[in-house]
Amino acid sequence: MFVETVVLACIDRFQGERTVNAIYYLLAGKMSAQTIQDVAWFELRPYFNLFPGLRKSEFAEILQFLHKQKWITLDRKIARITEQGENICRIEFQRFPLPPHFNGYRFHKIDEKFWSRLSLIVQIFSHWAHDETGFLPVERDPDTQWMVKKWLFALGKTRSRQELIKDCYKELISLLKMVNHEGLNPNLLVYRLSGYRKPGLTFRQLAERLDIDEPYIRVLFRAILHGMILLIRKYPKQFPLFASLVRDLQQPLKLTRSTARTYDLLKAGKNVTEIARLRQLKPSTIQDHVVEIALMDPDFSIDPFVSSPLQEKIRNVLQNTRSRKLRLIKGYVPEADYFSIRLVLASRFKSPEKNT
Amino acid sequence: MNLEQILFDRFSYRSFRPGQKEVIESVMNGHDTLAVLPTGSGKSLCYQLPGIIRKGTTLIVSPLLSLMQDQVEQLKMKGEKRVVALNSFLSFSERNRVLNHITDYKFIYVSPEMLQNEQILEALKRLTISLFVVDEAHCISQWGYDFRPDYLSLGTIRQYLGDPQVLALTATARRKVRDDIKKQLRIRKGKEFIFSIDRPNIAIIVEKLKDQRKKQERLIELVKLLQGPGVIYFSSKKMADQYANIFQEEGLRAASYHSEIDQEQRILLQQQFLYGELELICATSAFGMGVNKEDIRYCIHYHPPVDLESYFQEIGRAGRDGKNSVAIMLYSPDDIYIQRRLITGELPDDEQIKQYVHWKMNVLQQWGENKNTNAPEEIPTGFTETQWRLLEKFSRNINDSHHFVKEMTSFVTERLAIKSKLLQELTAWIHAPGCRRENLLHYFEEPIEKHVISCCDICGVDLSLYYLKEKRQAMSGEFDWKKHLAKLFNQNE
Repeated sequence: MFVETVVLACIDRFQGERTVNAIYYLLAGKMSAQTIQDVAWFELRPYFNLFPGLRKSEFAEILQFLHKQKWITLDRKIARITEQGENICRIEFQRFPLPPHFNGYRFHKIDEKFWSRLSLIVQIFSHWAHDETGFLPVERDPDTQWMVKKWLFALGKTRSRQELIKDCYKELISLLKMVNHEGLNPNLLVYRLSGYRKPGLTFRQLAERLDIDEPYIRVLFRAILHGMILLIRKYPKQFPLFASLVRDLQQPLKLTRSTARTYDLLKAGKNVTEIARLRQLKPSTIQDHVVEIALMDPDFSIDPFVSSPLQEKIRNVLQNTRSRKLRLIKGYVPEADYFSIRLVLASRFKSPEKNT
Repeated sequence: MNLEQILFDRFSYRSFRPGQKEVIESVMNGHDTLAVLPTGSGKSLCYQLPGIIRKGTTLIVSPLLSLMQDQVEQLKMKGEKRVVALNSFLSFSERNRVLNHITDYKFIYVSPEMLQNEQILEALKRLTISLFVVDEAHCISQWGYDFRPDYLSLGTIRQYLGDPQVLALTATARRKVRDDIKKQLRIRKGKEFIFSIDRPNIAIIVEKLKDQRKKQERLIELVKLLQGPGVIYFSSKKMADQYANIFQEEGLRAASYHSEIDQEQRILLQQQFLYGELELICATSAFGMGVNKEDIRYCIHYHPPVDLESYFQEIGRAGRDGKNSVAIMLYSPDDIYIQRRLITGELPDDEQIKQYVHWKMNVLQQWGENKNTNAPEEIPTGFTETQWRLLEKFSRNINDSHHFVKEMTSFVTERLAIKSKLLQELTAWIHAPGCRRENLLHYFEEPIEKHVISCCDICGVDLSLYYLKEKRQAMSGEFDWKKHLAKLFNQNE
């Protein structure tokens, strides 16, 4: 029911202002400017990339199901939630809330990479700890194998295998204790790990043993990974081994080529008008670029473009209206231009805010 | 040169299994070689050993991605690190890295699809290929099971790569198939080795039941009675899932295995099965290849497969350790409809061909001839993956849609005729009087040599020989992550 509940919640947020396809791309984690913009505007951050492997056909079946239950209405590609649907959604989220730390945007692909590395090194250390060197790795990704090999080689110069195993074990234990403390269940991660003569459990097996929906298990599992990465980055001194394991895991900025060019010029200190003149483009095009940058780059500040009091005002309006029709919003803050509103909408995505 | 010594030094085996030495000697003497060796007899050693001691690169064409990965890892485990698999799992950047360093590799596994790629062929051409291995060579023949159209171009590719020496390996090949292999791979004067494919330690049983309901009852009864580990083959993923659940509820450590489960989870399931944490796999035909489990005690076909070659391959996964094992096929007359559907389901019908042409023409109009932009994100609804791949293959040089439709249709018609024939032969075998083993071997053009004690249901088998001997282990207990982690790292908690 978890996927269904999330779809309901998304339909609720969109208020019929986007088609169901937008929901699919959002949940499957499509890294396009359009999807990211939807996420920002409609405050759907917690839902982005919740179900990376979701198939279009599965999604279509879910919509059919929701429709049949009369939890939504469907008119061409526009879905709207019914009162019954709202109730179901609320009840289900109480039973199975979105886990803390989950951030499908920030850790897009990074969580996958981190997991492959983690599972490979644990498998290696486990075999070493049992005096066994040859084994079939569960992790087959050549990039990961290559990275881990280099990593182990570098560490091998500083300490013995036994020390390495012990250090890794200690770091992992204290990391997981911290994760546990924040309300996430480390069993979901630990039992998925493979070691000496101990293959990990599959998601389905975990789901069956704990009697929880498999998609939900997958999300909880990734939330643990996200929590771990956050903690490692926050306290690198406390987790030196893991810090060196995640150091190169960065999200590449995905900007269109033209936007990247605009960004370079912005960084060089030019303003929108100057860039437009330099590049012989319309100022409105450059504004589009700036909005895209604000969406995609978490470190980008919109302060040079919109004054703080105006930002504050627009945010207030956004909090009090659910519609994301620009014209409507502008009606409440006539002094703001569309560019400012879009920038504030875009930047909201990054500010730390409540989950649901 | 002492082959036994090399075998021990590099592979830590004391002696060769039947057939291996003859094939290796033939390869070492430079002959093109076709070898028919039973499954589980260590076919891969036949090229791995020569590959390690000879100069040049060994190129292995293998149709199964998971199998390829397994063999790469196994070679690495044996200390040969200069090995790589070129397949669709590689990302674009990884592929480029491999291709730029192609001469560093001693063993290169490649899927037939990848060999259609010009960039890859160019890179391979830079190598000195000492041996061109075609694994699962029966895929080249329409009469073999698991025919793969991409295999048909291997002869041309061999020529393009400078006519390297060939080693064709298969576990099942009747005369017709062997002739096809030699013709397609352009083996003119070569050596042929055919070893008995009989597996006398596997008893062969067919149980005829009235309908699906009776089959269901019997299956559950059998699984409770028999000593595992076991594999049950189903014709659909959904049924494999359903029965895995049923058996779990009966307290068995069971899981389902099919192509919809992602690679990581599949590897975990294989390993769990290998280490005895699972006792029962409910599978589709996706299960098997590359699973080196020696002690599978029974194999049940809940649905019969579509031909005797598949059947033989699948039961051959039992009893690799040489100990007594049993293969049971549950058959009811209405199975024929399921089998027919399996056969036709792999091939596109007229309506689908029409639909495809429509789609393709649209794409070509939009994108021009640029091939890379054609692939849809997901296979459109109404097509199976096999169907889609086939259509894509035949349309590679599509410029005349009428010509394409004609070619595709005649291909489909021919395939259907052959598959129906193979299905008829399977059905005939099920109903034939006389010893099942003898009939099966006869089909594979092999005389029966020795008398087998637990032979088949016709000759008489005491099924209780295969009944449960050990007490069933329960599912493992409560979760305790600290304890588990300590165990993994071999540390005190």
